[in-house]
Amino acid sequence: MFKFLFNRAIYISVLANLILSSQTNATPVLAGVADTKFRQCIEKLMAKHQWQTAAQVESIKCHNQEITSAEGIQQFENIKSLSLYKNTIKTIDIKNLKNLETLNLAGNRLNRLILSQLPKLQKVYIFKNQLTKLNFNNLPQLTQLKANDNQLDSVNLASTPLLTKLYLFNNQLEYLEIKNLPELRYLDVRQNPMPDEFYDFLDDQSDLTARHDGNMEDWD
Amino acid sequence: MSGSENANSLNNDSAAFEYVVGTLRGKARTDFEALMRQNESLRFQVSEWEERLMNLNTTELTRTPTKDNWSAIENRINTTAQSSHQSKPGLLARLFWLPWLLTGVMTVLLMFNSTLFQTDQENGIGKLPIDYMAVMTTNDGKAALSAVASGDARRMWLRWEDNRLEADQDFQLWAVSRSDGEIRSISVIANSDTEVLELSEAEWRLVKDADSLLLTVEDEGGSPIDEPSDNLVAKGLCVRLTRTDRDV
Repeated sequence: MFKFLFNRAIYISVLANLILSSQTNATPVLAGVADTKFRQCIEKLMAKHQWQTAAQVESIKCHNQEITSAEGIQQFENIKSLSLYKNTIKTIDIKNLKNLETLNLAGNRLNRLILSQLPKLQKVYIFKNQLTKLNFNNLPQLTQLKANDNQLDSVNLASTPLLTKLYLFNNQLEYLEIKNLPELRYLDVRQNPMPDEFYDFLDDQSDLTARHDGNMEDWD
Repeated sequence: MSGSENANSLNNDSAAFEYVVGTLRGKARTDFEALMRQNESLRFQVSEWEERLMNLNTTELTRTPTKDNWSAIENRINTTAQSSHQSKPGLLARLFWLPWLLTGVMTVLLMFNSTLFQTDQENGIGKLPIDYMAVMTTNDGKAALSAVASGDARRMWLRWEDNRLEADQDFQLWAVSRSDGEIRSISVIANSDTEVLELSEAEWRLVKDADSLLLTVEDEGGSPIDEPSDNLVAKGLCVRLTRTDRDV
């Protein structure tokens, strides 16, 4: 009798353990997402699209959610689109999101952004942040960058050969290196403290439509 | 004057305007004429509008059209002439010019009519010189938003008509550049209670460079890609006032 009860107890204990561990493992993908509102947003997206694992998540769009941290985003390695417009994010690390094609971090509180080795990234929206430095390296598919309305005093674009449209209106740039941007066709650098000599240089570039404070009728 | 009296006065003024320009028709026109016979202040409002419209003949108010304007007009006339041989156009097609006429008339009249913004004394519009003005209208020619901007104050004052938003939506005001045609955001506006926008130096530059202004409805927080959505509420020319017109 005692042996029967003992075996029964072990059986129930093992069963309970299995049930508990299966519940814990139900959402391991969100365990690393520290920010509550970010986690809730991703939960809703996963439920809506019936994504079960991080690998299945194709895009994340969490706008205007008061998200302060994107910690945990690294695990969503297959996402093609990440859009965190109008939150309060100060830093972000997305270096292992190798499938990313569109990145939107506009309207946050970033003061520095380094993007590197993202082979499929095409469009980046980072306007209306507090950025002072931009370092982009090895983004071979990047065609459009909107970084207007920041406080940029330094922009380094290396190995971004397909960049076509570059928006830098309302920053603190005194100079911009564009010699390594052979496909650049549109550039807006108005409302930057640039010297006339640089405006002359821009005007001399064929195939480039450059808007700067030297050629605007509204410049008093 | 109470709020309801204010609203009534504005409605009468609007009806008087429509009566004079001829857009008040049918039974509405007949009823308005009956009202006029009994209401002296309404007759006075009508004669005021008649007097203002008779003065619209000064060349200072004209904007020199571009070559594209004239060819667009010619193409439109030719298209209309061709199609008239095939079938008689409907009433709406024959009145295609009406929204443009209303926009132009309202824009010009606002240059001389300070009453629409007189209640904004407490917002500082007062005696400030106004540099730019825009009347944004819907597709059917109704005014949705009027705006005046002052460079001295770096401010834009807004006058809304009846515009409604869902809870998770915002308005966004855009400037269409005169120089490169690009559309850039001036401001995200949470609701139609907003009467004054404080303009940064960059935003003032956008107003100065604007050929026209657009008003769109966006998701809450504004356009995430810094481009207007397809939900266009209204648009209108941004008119730079000459020095003689500036003082309101």
